[in-house]
Amino acid sequence: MQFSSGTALLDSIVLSLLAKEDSYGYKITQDVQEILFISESSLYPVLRRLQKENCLETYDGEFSGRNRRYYRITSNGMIKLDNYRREWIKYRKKIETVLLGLNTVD
Amino acid sequence: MEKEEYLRLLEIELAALPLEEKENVMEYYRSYFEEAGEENHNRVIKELGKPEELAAHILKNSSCLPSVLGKKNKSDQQEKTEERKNKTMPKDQKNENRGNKILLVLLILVFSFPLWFPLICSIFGILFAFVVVTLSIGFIGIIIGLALMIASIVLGTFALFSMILFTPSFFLFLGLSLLLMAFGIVGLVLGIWFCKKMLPPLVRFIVSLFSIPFRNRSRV
Repeated sequence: MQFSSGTALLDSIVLSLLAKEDSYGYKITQDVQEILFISESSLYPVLRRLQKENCLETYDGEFSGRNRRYYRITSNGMIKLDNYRREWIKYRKKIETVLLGLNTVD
Repeated sequence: MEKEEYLRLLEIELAALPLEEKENVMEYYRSYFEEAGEENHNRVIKELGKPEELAAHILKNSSCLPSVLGKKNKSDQQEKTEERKNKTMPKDQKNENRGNKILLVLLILVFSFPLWFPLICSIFGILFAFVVVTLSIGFIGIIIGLALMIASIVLGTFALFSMILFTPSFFLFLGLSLLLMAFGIVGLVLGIWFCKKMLPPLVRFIVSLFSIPFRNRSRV
């Protein structure tokens, strides 16, 4: 994808993936990579930051004999995601107005 | 490069992180390799980049460290100039902040006057009471001592008179007088000792209490 993926976009995609179901580092990276172009290394700091902001929490689960650290969205994270969704709708309208010449009227 | 070798180099590069944080990172990337599967290790290593690049990326984004530590990449040159710009900015902000802070403290002091004034008054009262109680315990000792000594002298002169009359009561009076004198001296000594023992620490305590605000200021 040519459009740059900023912090907010990356955050909101990670949060919305985790809002659907709990997931772990590798799978989150794979899922995000289907949507945005990010390097594999850039997701750990994002997850860690969201965790420190109390948007995510982790728990350990067993998977085929080894430990797997799952990430789960918190209520704080849901609030943040909700804000991102509202922002996104505004942002999308602005972009579409310019980019597609659309005049979206509510 | 093997996975183990990669993780080992990464751990070395992350030496600046706090232990717990480093464990977290290592755990994440170790399981990342495991999830990717043996056959994908080479692809993952290629994607993650050199261990030092990955470490620089993590360090740069870690809130535990000043961002300076993460600067190893060539691409960070831009950020450096940006940061320099930022460095000059906060100085003005800091001064402004300090001014605001002082104003805020003054406002709080003024508005909380009904709160802290009685508090300070009562602290003064308690301190004063302490000093008075200590002093009076000492003085009681001294005064009782003196009174007993005076009584002893009075009894002594009385004993002298009874000696002239040569009655047996002379011995009784003399004995009582000496006894009172002894008690009097004990009381006096105890009173003085108490004052001497208790006053200096009390004074020191009060002085240190008063110097607390000044000590804080000198530290700031």
